[in-house]
Amino acid sequence: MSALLEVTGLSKRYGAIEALRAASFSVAAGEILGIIGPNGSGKTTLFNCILGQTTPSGGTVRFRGIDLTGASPLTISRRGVGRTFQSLQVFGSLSVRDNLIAAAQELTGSMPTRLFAPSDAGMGTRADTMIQRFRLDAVAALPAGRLSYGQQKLVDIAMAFMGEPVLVLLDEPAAGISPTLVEELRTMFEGLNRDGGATFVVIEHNMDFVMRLAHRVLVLAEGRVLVDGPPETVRVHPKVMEAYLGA
Amino acid sequence: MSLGLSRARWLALALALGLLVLAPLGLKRFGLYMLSLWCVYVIAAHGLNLTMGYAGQISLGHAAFLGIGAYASALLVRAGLSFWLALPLAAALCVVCGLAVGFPALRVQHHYLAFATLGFNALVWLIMRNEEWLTGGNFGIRNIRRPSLAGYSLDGSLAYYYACLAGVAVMSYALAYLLASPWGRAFAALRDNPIRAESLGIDIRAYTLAAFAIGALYAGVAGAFFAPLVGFIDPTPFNVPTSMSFVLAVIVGGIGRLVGPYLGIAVLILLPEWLRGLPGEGLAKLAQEWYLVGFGALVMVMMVWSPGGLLGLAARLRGHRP
Repeated sequence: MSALLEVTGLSKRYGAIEALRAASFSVAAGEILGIIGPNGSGKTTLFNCILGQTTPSGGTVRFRGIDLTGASPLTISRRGVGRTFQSLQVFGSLSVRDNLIAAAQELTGSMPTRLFAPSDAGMGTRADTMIQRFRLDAVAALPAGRLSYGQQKLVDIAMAFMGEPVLVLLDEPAAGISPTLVEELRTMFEGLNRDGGATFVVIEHNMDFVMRLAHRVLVLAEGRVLVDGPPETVRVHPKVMEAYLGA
Repeated sequence: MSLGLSRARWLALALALGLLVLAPLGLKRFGLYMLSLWCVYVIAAHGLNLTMGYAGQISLGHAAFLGIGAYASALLVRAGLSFWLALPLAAALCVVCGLAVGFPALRVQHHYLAFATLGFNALVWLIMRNEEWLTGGNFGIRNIRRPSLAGYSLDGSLAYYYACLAGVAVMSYALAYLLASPWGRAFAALRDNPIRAESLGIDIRAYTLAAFAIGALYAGVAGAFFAPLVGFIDPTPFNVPTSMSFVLAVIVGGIGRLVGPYLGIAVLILLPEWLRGLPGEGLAKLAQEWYLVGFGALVMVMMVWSPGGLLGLAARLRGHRP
């Protein structure tokens, strides 16, 4: 498989703190990469550097062979990279359906033409499909801010897929939701990967979730890549045990 | 593109428009003047509602755009241009100024942005007061004549009221259209969560600037209608307190709701006049003296109990959450 995302020597320093130390890895098209690591190991900083939310202190990020190091989130998004955040990030006043349309409406056409476009910007059918896929039918017309945490989580994730991204980076998608929903999410992600060929990078603390979902798992500790390999190898790797348990 | 209004809302709209067409019946010159002023201020408040209510950008300098629109149109008409040409030119000037004010919003938010826009209002006010060669300073510009339309003079109070009413109808429709387009959703996304919006490909810089530019355009159009309505302009109506009044009116009416400015401006300028006419001299005097205190208290109560303003309060009373 060819590399879709290539991260080389990525570093981020906040004053005296090195949040990320020359992290290197690649993600192949159609792959699901899990990223685990103790709190403060640099997982979210890694995402923010890849996605332009934070400017890296060093290293490069290449997506489909194009150098996107330091590019703005807007540019990266328009290149076909979707993301979710660690905390919920929905548009609270908009309905669920409008949240989904908003997530994709700007990816085609230009700003002036959108002023004269249909209200749903031609994304209504796709939004309805996502509503069905994520089982949000009953709440589609409600403002997203009024939904339960679990429902908002589903909206948040569905939004990341609305623009038909080539690569999706998910930051703790299983956090704070019921075990039933966690299992449903895993099934959905597997389906999107298998049927749609979506490529994922997933940060997660839920070991069972990430070990069952990911094709490959990367372990970060103190900003460094500690281990990178198949889930069954990572699960029993002594360095991983040490990083998590200090033993 | 459809505005997405239900049949009931179209009926309510038609009814409201009918009432406004019939409103001048029995009114004298001052009553017509107040209704015309209400129309003009509603246009301006629509602009502020877009900038603050829909796009979530604080602006405490809206009266400056009203002033720029009023002075620009008055000066252009004095220079010999038709009012109908001066109006779009004044609005275009406001768009340019709105873009300039929008740039700080790309770097700062919240109270820092509030101070930046406040400073802009103070600066414009000082220019209006001090640059006598252009603005007439404190003496202002006098004898601003009302325009004609297709050979029909709008000089009379009734004719000019209908011109202002047509103006508010056109500008309201344009705003409703804009908000029903994908732009409306992008503005809401910018207001609710700019970081998420940008990660989804929404150009938050462009929409922030657009929010200020369009807001200023509305104030510019209102200013162009304002100058011939009052016939004389000086810097006083375009100062910071007027900007604050606009903010309060938008909040009281229902911020981020299309109908909000109609109610908010009515509370701001029509209600005190109505109170003045209460039966019994003592009651009318009392109402007048305490009106501003009551308005301030109403704003405080609204902020605490009904952030959605009067419209939000009405929704609450009907059992819906605003």
